[in-house]
Amino acid sequence: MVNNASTLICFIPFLPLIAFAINIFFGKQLGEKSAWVTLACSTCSFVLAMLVIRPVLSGAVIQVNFDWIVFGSGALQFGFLADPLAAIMLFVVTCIGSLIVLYSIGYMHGDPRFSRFFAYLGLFLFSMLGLVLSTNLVQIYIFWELVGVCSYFLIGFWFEKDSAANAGKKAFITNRIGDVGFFIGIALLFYGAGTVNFTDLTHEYFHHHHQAILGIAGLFLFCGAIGKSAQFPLHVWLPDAMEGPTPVSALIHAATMVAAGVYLVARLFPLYEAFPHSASVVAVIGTTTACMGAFIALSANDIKKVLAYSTISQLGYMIAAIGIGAMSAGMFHLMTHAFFKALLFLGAGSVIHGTGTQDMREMGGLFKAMPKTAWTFLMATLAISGIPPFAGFWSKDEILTHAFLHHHPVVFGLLLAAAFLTAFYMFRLVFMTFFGKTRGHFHAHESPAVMTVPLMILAFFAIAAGFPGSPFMHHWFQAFVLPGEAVKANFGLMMLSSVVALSAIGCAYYCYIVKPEMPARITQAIKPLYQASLNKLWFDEIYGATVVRLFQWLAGTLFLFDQKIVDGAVNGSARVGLWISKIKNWIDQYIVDGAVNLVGAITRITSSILRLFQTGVIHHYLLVMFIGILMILYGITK
Amino acid sequence: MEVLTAISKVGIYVIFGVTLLGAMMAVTLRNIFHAALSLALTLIGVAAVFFVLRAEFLGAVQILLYVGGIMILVIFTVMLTTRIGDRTIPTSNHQQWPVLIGALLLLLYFVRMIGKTPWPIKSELAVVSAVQIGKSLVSTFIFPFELTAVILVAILIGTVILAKSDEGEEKS
Amino acid sequence: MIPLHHILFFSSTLFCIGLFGALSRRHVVGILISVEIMLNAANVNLVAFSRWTGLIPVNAQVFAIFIITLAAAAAAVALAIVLTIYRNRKTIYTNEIDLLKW
Repeated sequence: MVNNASTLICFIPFLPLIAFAINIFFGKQLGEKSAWVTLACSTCSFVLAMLVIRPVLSGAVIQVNFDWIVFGSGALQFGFLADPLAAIMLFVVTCIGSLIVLYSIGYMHGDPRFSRFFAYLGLFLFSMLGLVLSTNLVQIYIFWELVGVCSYFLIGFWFEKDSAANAGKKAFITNRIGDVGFFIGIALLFYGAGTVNFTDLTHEYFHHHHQAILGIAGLFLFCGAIGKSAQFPLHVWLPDAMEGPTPVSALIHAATMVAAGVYLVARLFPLYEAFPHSASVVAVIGTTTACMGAFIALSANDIKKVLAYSTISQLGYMIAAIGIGAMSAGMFHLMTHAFFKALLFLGAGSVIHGTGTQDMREMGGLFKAMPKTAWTFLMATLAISGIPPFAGFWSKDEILTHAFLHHHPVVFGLLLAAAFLTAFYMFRLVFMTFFGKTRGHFHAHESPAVMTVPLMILAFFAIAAGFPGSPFMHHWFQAFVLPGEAVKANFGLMMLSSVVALSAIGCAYYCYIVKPEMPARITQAIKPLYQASLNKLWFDEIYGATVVRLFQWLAGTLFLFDQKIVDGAVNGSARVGLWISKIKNWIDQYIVDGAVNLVGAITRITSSILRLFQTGVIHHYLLVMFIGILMILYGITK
Repeated sequence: MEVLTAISKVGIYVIFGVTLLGAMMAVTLRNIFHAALSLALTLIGVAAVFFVLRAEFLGAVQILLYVGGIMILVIFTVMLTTRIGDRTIPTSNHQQWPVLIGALLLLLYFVRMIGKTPWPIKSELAVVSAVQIGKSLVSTFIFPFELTAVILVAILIGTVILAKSDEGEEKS
Repeated sequence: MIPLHHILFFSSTLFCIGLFGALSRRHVVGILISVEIMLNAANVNLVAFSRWTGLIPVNAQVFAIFIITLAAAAAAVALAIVLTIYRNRKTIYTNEIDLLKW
């Protein structure tokens, strides 16, 4: 079985790549059928993934390696690794990916670039699966970048809109900033450890190797996760990424791509375990992100923006979990979050599809008009709010328990407060959208089955995905991820988190259903805080004024440099050449020609003197003859 | 007898003087015709010197050829090439003074050499007869004799060609 | 008889007079006349030496005859040339005949 899986594992990423190739080249001819190509390939990948996961469930680790670049003593390898972490990610990516492909058939119906969308989805699935199955840091970096490129394509899919094109650029550039740190981290790690393979960087390895450079490498590697998982301070791209189609938001910016950062940190968990200082940096950033995301989501009026900030907040939870040492809890929350966040986004997409607007202030009373959407959405909201027995409760509670039991009181308190806010703003969303008076002027209709079937499947997972990590199954999930981890369920904390969540729901009910004028009064009372939340803590403005301006200035200066100095150097060298040629001309004219002319002049002058002897007059010749004879006489008779 | 000897001695010097006078006139007279005539006088004087030195044949040849032949030629040429208005033109070109000084120096040199050289004077002064000359011409000097004949032929032809007028050539 | 050196003085003087004339006369025929004078001086010399010091006296006199002959021939050619020059250049003054001037 392991051998079969080893061969099958290679096909998993490449099937969506084939879909990409087919759709790119034959998309125009295929038309609407191009979607089925991608759907077929992604479901096949799902099936293969299941076949690969089966042996891993019983404890096997499948690894296939090819030598890629051979240099001297070692070689850089390219391969596929299926261990428990990768198995979880495989399941999540292929399952949610296939469901979203199905959903997109309905959502993108009628779009002029229909086949291109499905081509990009195929490319994205290939990149994500390659990332998940990577065996070493360099390979993961390659697929990391590929995923970023796909994100750029998909966010800016409707590039006719300036805002969409800019959002794609922003996403890619912000990711790249994180990736610089990531690359430095890879270099430092290689320098310090001599290897980049995940299978080498184990718990035992870090027992024996404890150089400071490895800890610093860990911090730099985390920069990549900051960028990809939209942590503070590189979170600014995620809200703007909502410009893309909603299935894209669901797939990439909720379930899979943003989870890649968490996955990376989880893979490097042995390193963070060995260096508590790096881990505390991770935890601080995660907690800050969790609180900040929740704070800004309170005032958002666009349904997708609320969900975007919610994603930021939940990612902060996962990162904080790994930072405080609860790696399995973090991965658990990743899995549950993927399902209910995808469901939330797809549901929001369904609402947008049905109402034609994204502003919640224009919605209301959609429960009756879109029942399937509404019910599944409610399931997801209960999950994210942490209400038992829904999935989110178990995973969030794991994180809180670990924080409390391992003596991280500040983290515990802040995460608990963020949980309160999460429940509050999510139910605010639900009440504003589905309940209350109909504020908008539209005829809302339920979405087609192609869109509602994935919703229902995801709703099932939103409910059931929590059970593998719950006490009911004896925390099977945590043991699967991190063998030997002892997890105890704390009943008191479970009660506490449930009470917090319910009270938050109660507040939301009060503010938005019972007394709709309450929100206005509250915002008036805490005007500065509300302004801060509404303006997203002015992150975009700060970055624009500082970093962006800096780089624009730099670009302008470099342009001037190129113009003046580089071109000037070229022109200068040309001028030097001209000057040299002028000198040579002078030399040639006056010195070389002068020498030649001098010879001629000497001949001329000499001849002009000597010719004076030739007077043509006979008596002169006679005289000379006479003088000559005299001289001869003188010589003879001497 | 002493009177005759004295007269003959003086007479030789007189001949010398006349010849030199004639020569000086020949080289300095402005009128070329007068110079030619002076040349004739000089040549006759030289012939007289030959007679005095008992070289009668040579003297006769001198008169015949030089005075009778060359003088005629010179007179002819002078007559044929005279331009009217030439008499006022100075005879000498502008190098007469250096040449004069040079000639005088040369003369002084010759005189000194003559004075210094111990001439091997024979006791008996020779007298050459025409018979001797004739015999020597056709025996010892036959080769120069014949050559001279050839030269004379060549010169004859050359002179005729040179002196022929152009009109004659064009007509023929 | 007079001593040898007197005759030699005479012939030297005659020669120098002729030389002076050859170098300082402008008229072409004048130069010719001076050359004849020089030749005659040489003849006088020869005859003097033939009489006083000659081993074979007749040789000197034959030599003198040859000189006379060739002088005459040369004079003839020279005068023909003078005639040709006069025809071409219409002048017989040496300072006016300078075609070979540089």
